[in-house]
Amino acid sequence: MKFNSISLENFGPFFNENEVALSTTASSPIILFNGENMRGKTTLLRAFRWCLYGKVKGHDNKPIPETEFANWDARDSGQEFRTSVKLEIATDSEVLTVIRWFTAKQSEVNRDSVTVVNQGWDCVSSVANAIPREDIENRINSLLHEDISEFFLFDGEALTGIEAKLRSDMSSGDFVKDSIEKALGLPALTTIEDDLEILRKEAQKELQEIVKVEGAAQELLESIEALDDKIKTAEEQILKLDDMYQTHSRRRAEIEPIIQANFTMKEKFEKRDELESEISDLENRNEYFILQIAERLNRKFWTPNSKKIIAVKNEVQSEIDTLNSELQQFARESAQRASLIATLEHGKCDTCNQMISGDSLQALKDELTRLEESIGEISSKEELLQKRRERKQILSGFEDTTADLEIIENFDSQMRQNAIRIQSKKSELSDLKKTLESVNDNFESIDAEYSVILSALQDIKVAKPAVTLSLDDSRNKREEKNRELAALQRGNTPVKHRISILDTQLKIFRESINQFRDLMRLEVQDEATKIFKRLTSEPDYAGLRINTKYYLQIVDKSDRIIQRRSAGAEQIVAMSLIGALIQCSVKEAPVIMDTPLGRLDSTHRKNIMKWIPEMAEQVMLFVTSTEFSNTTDRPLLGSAIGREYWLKRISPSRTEVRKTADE
Amino acid sequence: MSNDSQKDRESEKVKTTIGTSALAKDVFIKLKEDGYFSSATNSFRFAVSYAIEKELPIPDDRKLPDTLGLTWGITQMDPEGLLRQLIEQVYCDGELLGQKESYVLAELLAEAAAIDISKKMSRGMTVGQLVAG
Repeated sequence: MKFNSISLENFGPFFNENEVALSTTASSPIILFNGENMRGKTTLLRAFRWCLYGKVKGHDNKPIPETEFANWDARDSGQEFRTSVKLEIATDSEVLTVIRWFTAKQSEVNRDSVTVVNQGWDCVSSVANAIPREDIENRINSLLHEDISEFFLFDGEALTGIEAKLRSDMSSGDFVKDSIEKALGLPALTTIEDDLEILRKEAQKELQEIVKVEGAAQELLESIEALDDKIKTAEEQILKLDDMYQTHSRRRAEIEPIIQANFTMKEKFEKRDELESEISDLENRNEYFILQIAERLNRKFWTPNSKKIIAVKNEVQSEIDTLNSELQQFARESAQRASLIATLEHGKCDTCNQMISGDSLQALKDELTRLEESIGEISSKEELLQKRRERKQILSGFEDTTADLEIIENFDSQMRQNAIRIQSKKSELSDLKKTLESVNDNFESIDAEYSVILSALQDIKVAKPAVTLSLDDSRNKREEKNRELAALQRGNTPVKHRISILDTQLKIFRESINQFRDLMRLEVQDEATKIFKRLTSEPDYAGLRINTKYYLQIVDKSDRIIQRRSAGAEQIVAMSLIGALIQCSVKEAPVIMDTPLGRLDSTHRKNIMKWIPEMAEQVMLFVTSTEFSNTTDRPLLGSAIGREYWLKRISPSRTEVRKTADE
Repeated sequence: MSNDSQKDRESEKVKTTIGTSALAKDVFIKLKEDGYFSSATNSFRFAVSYAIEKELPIPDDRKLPDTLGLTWGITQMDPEGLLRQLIEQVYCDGELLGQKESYVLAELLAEAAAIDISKKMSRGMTVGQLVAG
């Protein structure tokens, strides 16, 4: 099948009617949709899904209500409007036109939402009349079954989910097995097995009815009936356990990426708390330092003055010392003067009583004159000394704060270092808070659910072997009783023969399914390996292996399993698996990829570009300008691009699909 | 009477109050709010000491802004006379003290300090750096 066209009416940002031709040729299978973020690429992908299957899941795997697809401008017009998506699908034998629609009007309670007035889903075939509504789902599923549509219509975010599932040790095998079986139509085959089982039971019942008339077989029949009941109960129990196991496994597969993401988020929340605590601690320390500095500056306001005060104190002390020295000299000279005056009065030495000659007397008079001059200069310094002492006394009030200065310098240095740390941590915290802005930190409920699921799965694993053992035992006993009964049932050969044939058929069919599953596993493995080798840039990787437990592994040239896979390798593995499932799928269908290249390096992107034209007969590629370069990527696709469109932003609520040539 | 001569006469009177400009008020209150001082009074005393140590040029009192920021009584600002003594002792032989009354000089010194501190803090300097530097 291929899409001929899609028509969007008031769907998402696509206001009024937007018809987009999609037909392609074998040599130009690619349709390129260019559009920046928020232009409606993912909405366009969802339009395909909604039209075909009527349900769309968001990136959180929760269903999106269809009313959310109503165009805002149509909604705000106040008039009743119609939202629809029409797909024209070409198959080998006919052209189907599928249209899903609803009419709605703006809600009177909440102006941001709409109330659906009417809705419908119609399908018209080019070779027949309108297809009855109850048959549309079967018809669509026969073209591309919803179960496998995720491999054909996928976006970059979904790819991340698949990568997460492949990374998970617990659900990886189940996911790969489930995907392969869906793609290869195995669920349909197992219904045949169920039909054969029903036929066998009917024949068995028929035989039992015949045997009942034989009295000798009555007891055996009762035993067989009792065993049948027991077998039925055990089978129901096993079915119930399988059903529970599948339900829990599915939920586990859904939860594990969330748990994985939560784990990363938890680390971020812990880091946030740690940063907040560290910042608070550093701020508290700085507050303590400020208190210590303040305590000193408030008590000794002259602290900045310390050096100058010491200098003044030293200066005063020095003056005092000089004055003291001068006053001592004054005392000495006063004594000398008194002695000289006495000597001159008596004309003889004051100490030895000898008479003094005339020459010596004159010398003494000169000395007296000098001393009196010197004493005259010094006498005023007594007062000066007193003043200096008073000044020294005042200055002593300004105690030495050199030690305080050192402490302040030390605390301030630590404060500045802390301030740099605080700045750096606050910047880191701010970035972290932006990341966590819209994240809910209530991890407990999902952790608790996960724990319950794991416990339930473990219980089922323990319970199932016991029930299976009991079932096998009952089946063996029934077989034995049947053999005994058969001996009594001469003349009932045709029915017995039919049962025998059905038993053989069932046995062969069961073995065939297992063989088919194994063959398909190997076929998908071979196809995935071919694609992986084309896409990977690592020359030592020899390919992919899907082991008997369905774990997808990368092996190197020495056949060793690569234990740790990089994020880039993980994406290439996921792309290879999807490519292989598309190639091996029982159905051929178009592939739509929404922004699948954003996280790839240039080598991987180049390899993927070369591979894309071979993926399917029709490949729609939704790209942004950052993931698709006109200079490097476009030449790789070359003439394989059959059509190209541009999602043109008209307003926040309107986008138009335009041919790139029109731009 | 001109403003200049009026100010000269005012400075000749015995001071009973001490005041600051609006700019200095902002600086002293900021220092208090940052936690370094328990009151703007202590910020003022610190500023006087800072200006003396840094030997900041004393602004011409005739050019001081008229708008008063903070005002204290002398006994409130300097109950033990320590601030006056500091100025007198540091400038005891200087020309400045001969011209101005100690508390007038204290106002001018605090003003000079406020301008300098404001500039340096706006460049990211801390009180510790101001003191130690």
